[in-house]
Amino acid sequence: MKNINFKDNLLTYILTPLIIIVSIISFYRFFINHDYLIGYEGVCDPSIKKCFVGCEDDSCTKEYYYSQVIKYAPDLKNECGEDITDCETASVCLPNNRNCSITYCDPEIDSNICSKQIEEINIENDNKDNSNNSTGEDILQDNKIKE
Amino acid sequence: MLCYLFPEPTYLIFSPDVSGLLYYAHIPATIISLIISIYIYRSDRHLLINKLLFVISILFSFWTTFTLIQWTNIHSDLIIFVWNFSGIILGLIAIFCIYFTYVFLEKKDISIKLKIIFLTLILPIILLTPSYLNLGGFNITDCDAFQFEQIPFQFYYTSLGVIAMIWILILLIRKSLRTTPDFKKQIILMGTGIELFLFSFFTMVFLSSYLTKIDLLPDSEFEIYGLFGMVIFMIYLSILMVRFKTFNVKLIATEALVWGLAILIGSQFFFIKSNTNMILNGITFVGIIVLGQILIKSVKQEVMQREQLQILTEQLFGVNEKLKGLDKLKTEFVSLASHQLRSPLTAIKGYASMLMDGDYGDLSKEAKEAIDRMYQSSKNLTIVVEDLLNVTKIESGGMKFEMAPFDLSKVVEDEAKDLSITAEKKGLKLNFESDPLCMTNGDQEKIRQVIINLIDNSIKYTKEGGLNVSVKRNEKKVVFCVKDTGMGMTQETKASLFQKFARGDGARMNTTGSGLGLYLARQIVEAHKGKVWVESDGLNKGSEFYMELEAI
Repeated sequence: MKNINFKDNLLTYILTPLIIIVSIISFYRFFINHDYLIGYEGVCDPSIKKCFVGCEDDSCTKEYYYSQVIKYAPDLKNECGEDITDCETASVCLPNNRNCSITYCDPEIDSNICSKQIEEINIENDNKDNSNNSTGEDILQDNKIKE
Repeated sequence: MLCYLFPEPTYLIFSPDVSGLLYYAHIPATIISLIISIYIYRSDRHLLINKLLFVISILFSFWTTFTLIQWTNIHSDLIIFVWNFSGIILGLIAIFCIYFTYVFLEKKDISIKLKIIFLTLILPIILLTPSYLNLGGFNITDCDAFQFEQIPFQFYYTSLGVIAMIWILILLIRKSLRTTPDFKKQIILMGTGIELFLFSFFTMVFLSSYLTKIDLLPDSEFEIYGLFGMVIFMIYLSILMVRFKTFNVKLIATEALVWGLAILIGSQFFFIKSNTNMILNGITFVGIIVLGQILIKSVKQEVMQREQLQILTEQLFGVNEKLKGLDKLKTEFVSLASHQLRSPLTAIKGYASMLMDGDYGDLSKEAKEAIDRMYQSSKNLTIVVEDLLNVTKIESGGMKFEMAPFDLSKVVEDEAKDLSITAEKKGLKLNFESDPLCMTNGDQEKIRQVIINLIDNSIKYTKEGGLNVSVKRNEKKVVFCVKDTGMGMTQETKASLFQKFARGDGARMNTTGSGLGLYLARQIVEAHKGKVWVESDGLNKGSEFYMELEAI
């Protein structure tokens, strides 16, 4: 009789405990160990690196520069807590960080969304008519990362 | 970690930052599917198909709740935790949809082999769910995990949806080719519903997720349109319930009425301002719920009783058919046996008669007595066999009546004369009286048989006294009557006396009767559109047998 019941409810008897176990493991992984990577936009200085360029609004009147940072969640949590908004170390990989990577814009792949470095801007300005009053410093100032 | 660009939601899912369409797509679809599946499940909890529909609906509810959390919440731990279960939920929905279709079509559970196949298909998803092969990380800028989803894993569970669609389609086509037109309609309805659900659900979920991952779409908002597939499926199931009584659902109208009223009255709480009205509405609301439940219960009881009655009627019909078959077999057997008995009996009777007449020389007195007994016994047996044959003829509609006008009083007079010898042998006096010319239309020989049966019956059951045989006529009828001073009968005997194999209260007095004589008499008289009956004041108070025929 027991055998018949087990056969009748085979899916329930096998799937239910398995799903419970998987839920417990997942809970432990994500809520306790925070065993996953966190991706976000890190601070990027276009005068030093090729940064990705993003828009602050839909009409893209204001731009900002960023790098793509991936950090191991427990490391980021230790360094910045829950919120990375005011965390300076969030945009750099520290020596003890595991699986940390920062990706900058590659002009060969993403030329249209990459920032221009200061040398390129100066060359462009030299070639332009002097009617443009902006200096390299002004451009640099404008290009500062906006959060 | 928090998605730092988005506002914190209230009550886990209510965020001011997301469009109303998102809630509109998720919440009604979930509520509708849950209400219908819980309703179906409650109507018959033991029915496997109801359980399966309930499981599919619960899985769908988990999916909608989890996606709503993914859309609105900003806590990376929670979002990635629920995101992690996408594969399991989608895979299980695909498998249980196939399972549901099998049970719907075959009306029985699937084989253990098929269950193992289902397990084999779903196990890789379950086992890999908590691993990096499923989900590796979370993007707190976009507040999603598309970037970290593993394509092979995602492809595997999505292809289960495609497999389910094809598998179900094949099952539906195969079954609809060899089923009744009525069930074919049900297959079309259920099949269209489940295929539309799977197609819209899996296609939208995969496409929106994939296109977002490769940056062709800004977000996966596209997938919410897939959820309407479930509403379509539920509409088709509702049609099945109402039109074809699928899922053994009863009382749809009553329950819909009660709950509709409750919702209508309950909704008034949202706009009533005065306290008095609030209290009155509250009392009405509770009253409707309580009375509604009583109404549902009583209607349910009535429906169950009606169903039981229907089952019993069907059983009775089956048994009746079986009995008719058996009765036919018995009639055929009796007819065959009687025919086989008649020839040897005729020979016995004939030779006994010849022996008694001295055709084979003189016999001693003892031998004559023995042969006389043999003759009488074979004569009685011949009557029984004739009765049996006549009964089988009448019941099979094989008895022929040669109708012609004749004088009943003449026939009765002849038989009264003949039977008066038998009566005298028993010490009984037989009187005969008749109106002149009692003409009727009928088969004279068959009516003669009836008269013999009735007079002979009276002689047999009368110990002393006598019999009065008469024939009277009025304008429309001729009435034969034999009145005896015999043992009479009770009311119960009177009611059953003309039944097949019925024996009177004095059956011990006459052990040679077959119990068919009076039954045959009634059948013959009724075939002449006449009437035969008995009257008696009780036991030992004599009897009066009547036969009434149309006068001409």
